[in-house]
Amino acid sequence: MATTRTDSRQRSGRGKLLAGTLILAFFAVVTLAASQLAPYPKNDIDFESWLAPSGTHLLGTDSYGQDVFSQLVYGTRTSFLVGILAGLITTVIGVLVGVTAGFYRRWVSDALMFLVDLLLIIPIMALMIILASYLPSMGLTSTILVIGLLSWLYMARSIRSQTLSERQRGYVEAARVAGMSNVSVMLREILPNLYPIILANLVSVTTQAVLAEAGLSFLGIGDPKNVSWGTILALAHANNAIMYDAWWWIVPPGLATALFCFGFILIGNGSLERYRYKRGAAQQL
Amino acid sequence: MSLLEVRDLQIEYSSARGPFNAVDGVTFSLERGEIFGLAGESGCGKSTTAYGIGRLLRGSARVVGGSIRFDDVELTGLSDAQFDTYRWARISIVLQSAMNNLNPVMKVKDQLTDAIFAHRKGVSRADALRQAAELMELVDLPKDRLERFPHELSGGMRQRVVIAMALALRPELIIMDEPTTALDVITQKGIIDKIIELKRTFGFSVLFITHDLPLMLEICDRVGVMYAGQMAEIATRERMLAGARHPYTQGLLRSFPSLTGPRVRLAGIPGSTPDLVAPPQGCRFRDRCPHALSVCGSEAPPVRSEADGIVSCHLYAKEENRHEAAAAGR
Amino acid sequence: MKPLLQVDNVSQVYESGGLLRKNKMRAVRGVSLELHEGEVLAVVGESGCGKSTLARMILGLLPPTEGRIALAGRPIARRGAGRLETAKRLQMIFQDPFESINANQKVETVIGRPLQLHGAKGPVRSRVLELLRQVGLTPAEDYIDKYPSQLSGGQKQRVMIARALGIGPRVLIADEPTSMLDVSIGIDIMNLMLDLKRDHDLSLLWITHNLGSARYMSDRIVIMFGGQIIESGPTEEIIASPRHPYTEALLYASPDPWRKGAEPAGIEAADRAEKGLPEDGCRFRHRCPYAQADCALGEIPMDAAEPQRGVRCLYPLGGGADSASSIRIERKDITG
Repeated sequence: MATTRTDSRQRSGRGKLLAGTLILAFFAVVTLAASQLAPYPKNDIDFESWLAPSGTHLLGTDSYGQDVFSQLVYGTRTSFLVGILAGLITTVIGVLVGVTAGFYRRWVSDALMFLVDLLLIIPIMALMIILASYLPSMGLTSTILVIGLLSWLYMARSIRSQTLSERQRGYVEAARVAGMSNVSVMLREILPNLYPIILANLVSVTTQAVLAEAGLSFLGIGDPKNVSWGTILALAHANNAIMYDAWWWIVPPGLATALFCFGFILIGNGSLERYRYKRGAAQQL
Repeated sequence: MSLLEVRDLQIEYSSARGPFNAVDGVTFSLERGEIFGLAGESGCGKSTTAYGIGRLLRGSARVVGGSIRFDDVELTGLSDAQFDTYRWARISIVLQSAMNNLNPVMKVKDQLTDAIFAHRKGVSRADALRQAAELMELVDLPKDRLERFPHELSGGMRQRVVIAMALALRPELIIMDEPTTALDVITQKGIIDKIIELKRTFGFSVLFITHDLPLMLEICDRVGVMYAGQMAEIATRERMLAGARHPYTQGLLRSFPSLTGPRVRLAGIPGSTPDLVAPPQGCRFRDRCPHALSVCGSEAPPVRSEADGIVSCHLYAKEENRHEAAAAGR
Repeated sequence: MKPLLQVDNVSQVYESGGLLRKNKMRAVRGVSLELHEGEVLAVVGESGCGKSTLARMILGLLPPTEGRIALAGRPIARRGAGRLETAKRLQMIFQDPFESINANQKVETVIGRPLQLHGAKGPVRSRVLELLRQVGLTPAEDYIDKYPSQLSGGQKQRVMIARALGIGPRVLIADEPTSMLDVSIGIDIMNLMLDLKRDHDLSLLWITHNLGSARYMSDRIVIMFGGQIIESGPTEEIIASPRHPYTEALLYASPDPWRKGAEPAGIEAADRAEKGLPEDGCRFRHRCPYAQADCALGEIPMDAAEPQRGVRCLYPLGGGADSASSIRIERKDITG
C-alpha cells in the first residue's frame, strides 16, 4: 500500500498529539501528586547547602539547604496552574474581543481596536509589574489574573483579522440568506472555522503565560510564599549558582519550562495537522 | 511538414495521492496558418499541454515522454537558453489570466517595450516605442492608451494589450489559453474577430484552447477534443458541425443550449471524470458512454485515422463493434 | 393575477468619498419586474450590469436605496421578526459552490441546520437523506457524512440546492449557478432545477450572462444593462426578434456555429467598450450602431406599447418606419 503525503500527515499529526498530551499529562500528574512525589516538604532548609545530586537528594541542594528536587516538584504545580489557567483566561477574552471586533464592523470594531492599540503601546511586562506592585499581596490567583487579563491583546488582533477575512466568505452570505441571525452566524458558522487560529494562539499564549510567571518570579514580584520554576531560577541567579558550578540548580527549572512549552506546541501542531487532514485542502490558512 | 508536431506527449504531475499523467499520450499536429483548437473540460489536460509546449510548466509538472517538434526541431531536447530563442520570437502565448496580471505599476507602453527589449537585442528606445505604437494600432487600441496604467483600461482593452504583446516579435505560433473566457460575450466577439483578422494579415498559426466548443467551432479550422489526459478525437470544423464521431464529443455538443432551432431538453453527460492517479482499464470514457461495449472495459481504444481527422474509440476500430452497439439498441 | 414577487422601481446607490466630494455610483436604477407563480424569469446581463446587486436586494441582504420589494403581496423583511419568514419563502443558489458551502461542516449539517432553523424538531437526518435523493445524490448514505472537500463542484452545487429546497421556498433565485462548473455538469444542474421546479411548484429567477442558458431555462426574459432593464418579454420572442440594439448585439455575439444568415452591419460597434457609461440619456449610446442625437437627452423610458413586451429605446429594432432597421439601411448607404 502506497504511503501518500496525506496519510503520513495524519500519522505525524497523531504522533505529535500523543507526545504532547503525554508530556502535559506528566506535568498534570506531578501537579496533582506534588505532595506525594516530593521527598521533602517545600521549604525545608535542614540540609547542607550546595550538595551535588546524590541518592538522598536527586537534584542536590541549593545555597539555602533546600532540596532542589522537592522545589522543582512543588514549582511544577505553580507553573502548570498559572500557565493553563492564565492561558485559558487570555484565550477566552482574546476570542471574545477578536470575534466581536471582526464581525461587527464600524464603531464597535474601531472602539475595541483603539483600546487594544492603546494598551499595546505599553510593554506587557511593565504593565504586569505595575499592576502587581499595586496589589496588596500577590497570591497564586492574583498572578493568574494579572497575566491572564493583560496578555490577550495580540491574540485579539490576530483573531479579529481572521474573522474579518472569514466574514467575506461566501458561506457567511449563504447562512444569512438561509435566515440565520447575526449572532448565530458568528457563533455557529464563523467561530468553528477559526479553530486553527485560536489553537495556534492558545499555544502561544499559554507558553507565554508560563514564561511571564517565571519572569515575574524572577523579578521578585511573584508570590514570595509559592515556589515556581521562575523562583528557583531567580534564587539560583541571586546566589551566583553559576560561580559554584551548581548546574543542578539552574538547568532543571529551565528544562522543565522548555519541556512544558514544547508539549503544548506539540499538541497544537498535532491537532492542527489532524484537523487539516480531515477537512481537506479547503482549510487554507 | 507541419509547423508543430506533438507526438505521444506525456506530462506528469505529483499530487498528495501520488503521481499521475495529466497528459497521457497526446498526438496532434498544427499546420502553418491554421487555427487549431484544443477543447475539453476541466482536468482534461489541454492547458497542461499548452504549457508543456511553451515550456511554462510549474511546480511538480514535467514532460516525461513523447516529442514536441516545432519546425522540425525537437523542443524537448533544447536547453533553457536554446529554448529562449524560440520564446516570443517564434512561439508566444496569451493566457487567460494575463489581462489581470499586467504589471499594475507600469504604463502600457513600458510593458510593450519591455516585451520587445526582452527578446530582441540592440533595439533603440525610439525604435521600440515606434513598434509599440504600431502594435496598438494593430489591435485597434487608441495610441493615447500607451500612457495609461492597466487599471484604467477595461478588461477587453487589457486583453488586447496582451495580444499586442504576444504579437510583438511576429511569432509563427501563438498559443492562446482561454483568452476570452473572463470577458463579456460582446467583448469576446470583438477580440476573436480581431484575432482572425490579424491571422489573415500575418499568417501565424494559433493553438486555441477553450472549453467553449461552439466558440471554438466558429473560428477553428480543426479541433482536437481531449478527455482525461488523452485525445478522444481530432476533426475538421465541417466534420464536427455535421456530427462528431467520438461519443464524448457528441455528449459535449449536447451540453450547450442553442439560440437557434427548437428548444429541446439536452442530455449532457452523466457521471464524472475518472481519477487520473488510478485510471480505469480500457477506455477512460467507458463509464459515461452511452455506447460502451464489453471491449471498452478491457482494452484501450485504438486510434483510427479518417480523411478528416482521427478518433480514439472502439466503435470505429472494427465494423463488428458498430453492429454490437446498434444491436444493443443504444 | 397578482405576481408572486414584485419588484417596484428599485434602485441602489453607493456613496463613497469624504466630506467634501461624494461619489455616487448607481448600481441599479429604477428596476421593476414581476415574477409570476410557476414561472421562470431570466435576468440576463453582463458583469457589472447590476443583476447580482438586484438579487441581493430581493433576498433582503441589501436595503434598496429606493423602491419596494414584495413577496405574495407582503414586503420582504431584512431583519427582525419577519426575517425568518422571508428567508423561508425566498431562497438562493449561489454562483460559486466552492465558496458558499462551509468547508467545516458535513453535508448533514449544511442541509440540516437550515431545516432546524425553520422549525424542524428533533433529528433531521432522514429528511436530509430524502433531500439528497431528490437532487440526485444517491446513494444518499454515501454523501451525508462527507465534508465538502470530498465532493466535486457539481456535487457541492447539488448539496446547496438540496439545502435551499429543504427550507421550502416558493421563489428560488439562482445566480449563475453553473458558471463555475463544467458544461456537461451544468446541463445536469439546469435539468435538475427544471425538474425540481415542476415537482415542488417553485418559481425561479434565473440570473445569468449567458443568453443560451437563459433561453433553455426561462419563460420570460429581462435584459439588464447599466443598472437598468432595457428589454423584457417572452423568451422565444426576444430571441427570435430582439428590439433593443444591445439585445441584438448579445444575440449575435453568443457563439453559434450553426447560425444561418449574416450578422447585422455595424454590430461591431457594440464592443467599443470604454470604462464607464454615460450618465445622461441612453447608457448604451456610445456602443450602439444606431444611436441618434436625441439618444443623449434625458431619461429614456421603458416603452410598453405592446403588452408583455417592453423596450427602453427611442429607436427599437423591428418595427415601422421609425425603427432602427431603416436607420441601419440609411447608415449603410452613407458609409458605402
